[in-house]
Amino acid sequence: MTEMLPVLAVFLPLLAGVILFLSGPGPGGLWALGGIVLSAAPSLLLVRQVAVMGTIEHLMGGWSVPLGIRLMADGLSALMILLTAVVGVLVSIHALGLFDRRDAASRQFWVLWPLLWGALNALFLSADLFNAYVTLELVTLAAIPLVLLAGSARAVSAALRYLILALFGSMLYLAGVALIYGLTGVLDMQLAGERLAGGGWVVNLAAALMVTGLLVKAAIVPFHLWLPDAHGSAPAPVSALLSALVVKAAVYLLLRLWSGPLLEPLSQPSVAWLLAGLGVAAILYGSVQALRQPRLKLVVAYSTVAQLGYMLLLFPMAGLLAWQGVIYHGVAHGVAKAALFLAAGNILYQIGHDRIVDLRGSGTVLAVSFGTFAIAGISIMGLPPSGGFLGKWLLLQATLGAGAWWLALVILAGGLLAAGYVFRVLRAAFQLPDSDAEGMEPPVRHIGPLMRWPALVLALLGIALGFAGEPLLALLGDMPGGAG
Amino acid sequence: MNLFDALTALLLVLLAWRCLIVPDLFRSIVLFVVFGLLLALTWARLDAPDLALAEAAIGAGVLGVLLLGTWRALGSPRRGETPSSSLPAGLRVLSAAGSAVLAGALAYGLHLLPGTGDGAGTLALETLPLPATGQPVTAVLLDFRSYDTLLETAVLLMAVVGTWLARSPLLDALSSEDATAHTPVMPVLMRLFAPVLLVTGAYLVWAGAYTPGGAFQGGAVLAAAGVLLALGRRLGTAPDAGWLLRLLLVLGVLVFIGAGLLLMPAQNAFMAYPERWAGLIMHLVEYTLAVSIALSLLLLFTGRPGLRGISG
Repeated sequence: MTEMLPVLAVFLPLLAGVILFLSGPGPGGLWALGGIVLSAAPSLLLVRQVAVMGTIEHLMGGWSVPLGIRLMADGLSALMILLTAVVGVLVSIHALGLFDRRDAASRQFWVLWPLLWGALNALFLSADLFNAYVTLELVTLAAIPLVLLAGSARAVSAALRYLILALFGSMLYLAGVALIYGLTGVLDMQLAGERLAGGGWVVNLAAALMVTGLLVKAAIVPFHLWLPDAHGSAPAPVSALLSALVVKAAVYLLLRLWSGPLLEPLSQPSVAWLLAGLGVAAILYGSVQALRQPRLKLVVAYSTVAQLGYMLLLFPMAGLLAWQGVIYHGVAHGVAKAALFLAAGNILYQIGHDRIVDLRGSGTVLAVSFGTFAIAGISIMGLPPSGGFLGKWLLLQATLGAGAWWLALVILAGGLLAAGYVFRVLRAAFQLPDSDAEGMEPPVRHIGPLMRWPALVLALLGIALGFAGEPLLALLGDMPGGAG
Repeated sequence: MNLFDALTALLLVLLAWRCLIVPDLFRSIVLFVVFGLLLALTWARLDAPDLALAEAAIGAGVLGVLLLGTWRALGSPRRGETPSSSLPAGLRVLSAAGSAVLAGALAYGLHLLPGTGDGAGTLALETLPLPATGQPVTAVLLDFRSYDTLLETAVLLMAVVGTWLARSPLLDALSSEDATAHTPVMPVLMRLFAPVLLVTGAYLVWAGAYTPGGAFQGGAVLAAAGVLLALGRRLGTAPDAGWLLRLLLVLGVLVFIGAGLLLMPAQNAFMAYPERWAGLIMHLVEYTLAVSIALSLLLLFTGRPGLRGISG
């Protein structure tokens, strides 16, 4: 049974999406709920088995590598699958409240989201360079239609921009894979890594292409242009899934390549520092932009641009501490960012706009939503006790251990800037109106418990991650492939 | 490399260049279709008939139809109008330079590649008597790397749903008042070609097990028959997909996943089929996939969820 779990974690969500497509304008939320359970159950079982037994592999079709495709669930895969399942379930519950299944467009959420879930799991389990490309495409092509659910012309143009840049990224990645196949004749990550030892000009070119492609998909500065619009104009649950999981999938693949087949080319100091430099640029640029945005959802979207930058700081440090710190930061950001987007979506839903200047006084009316925003903000700022703090703390220790004190300064500056953009929103919300005439406007729409509580639970999970470091880091285990 | 190949290569570059710089959108699309056909010819010259068929059917055929459909949907005011490039000249020069560097680096990199003798490709050819189908490309697509193929078919479902979602906020005009339908040529073309396309498509699917061809190529040709019927107003669109249409759209994926999952406990591996049944299962997968692919491509063209027959 155990070796079947990776397959089930991919195909039960895909099957759920197909079934929900078939069911058509069916009987409301029960079908969707069934889809969520069908998708989450194998993921959680798989994570438990990996925690107990260590790495699980499955040879697709019974063909051994290099002929067939290998699925591999190691600690890193398991952690990402766990993040997907936890964020996925809570966001799904929020979506149950928001999307009416009788509405034709909303119905498509319940087709696309399980498909996206299966695609994400497939990506996290892939141990094959070309299969990783296929799964990355699958993730992107499920994510883009989800942006369209907002139904506005603005969302369509954001989605198209996302599509074009994502295809550009895929093309670069695929060109790199083709070169590696030409060099080694294999696509399995481990085998390719063994045969690539020694490097060479073509290996460097392939690595450059693949990494650039992934940076585009991960919206790392300067390839971030598509992200704020797409994440800012999508419906709240979609924004949460995109920011928490989808962009992280590209970063995940980058880490996977770094710790495997592309270790040599990416460990050259010049390359490692170039990547870290992009990370620094992302942290500073994204944070400053987040400070300047007029709309709440755009603040949260630019915050994603900034937070993804931390994950690139791994490359020049390349030790276990940095590895743990970067991944823990990614997990903590996923949980907290999903909470932020759901909270922002709830605010937008209740007062009909998300212009920050006009939020004045709404904090007292929408106490739960803004409270959620504030709690999730703690983890984003990296204040203790929270998951964000733990990730940044590990990362800080790694930078100081490597003697890169100025990277430590960047991490601290990023935290300060994050505090700036979180408090800017809260200050606007809790500022009392100038006169009674303006008054505190009552909400235009009310949200039900399905929409209210998942966001708060996610925000609290972001805090709880500050205490859950030990079991999760034990699940993550050592760096795969003995990198660094 | 003989003169013919050199000429083809030169023409390809020239067509790509023209396709990019020509100011008229319509001509650009036509050039793109010609480019696709020439590319198919190039694949054939490179002894890759499967790719040639796929390129001709999907790259030139389906894509050309989709582009022309989009062009028509843009409406008459835009026709013949120069597509205004929002990019400033400096950025255009930069992107051209970047493309040139990329192309140069790729060409140099490909030039440096060794011919590998012990890769997965060689191994696949050596293992060929083993899988249920003797055709190397089909063996890779439906056996060795069937997992990739299965995931790719899920892309089609996403694309179809995405098209429905993208379309509704943008336009709902393209349907009945359609100039091509009133030309006297259309019914004749339809009567002549629709049956031929159906038979050709079915043949390509069937032949996939033994010779170049397969679900994707065959499905694309079947979709072309559907496009012809839609243009000839024998097939109309409907606002909602009925259950039968929805079932046919996902039939290939369902059969593919179902066969893999149901046999997994017995075979201990996903999509490992027992030897006696392997051939049958692969044929079943291939035929159902072809139906789903054909319908998905057709729906990408019509752009609306439903289909209905029009008698006349």
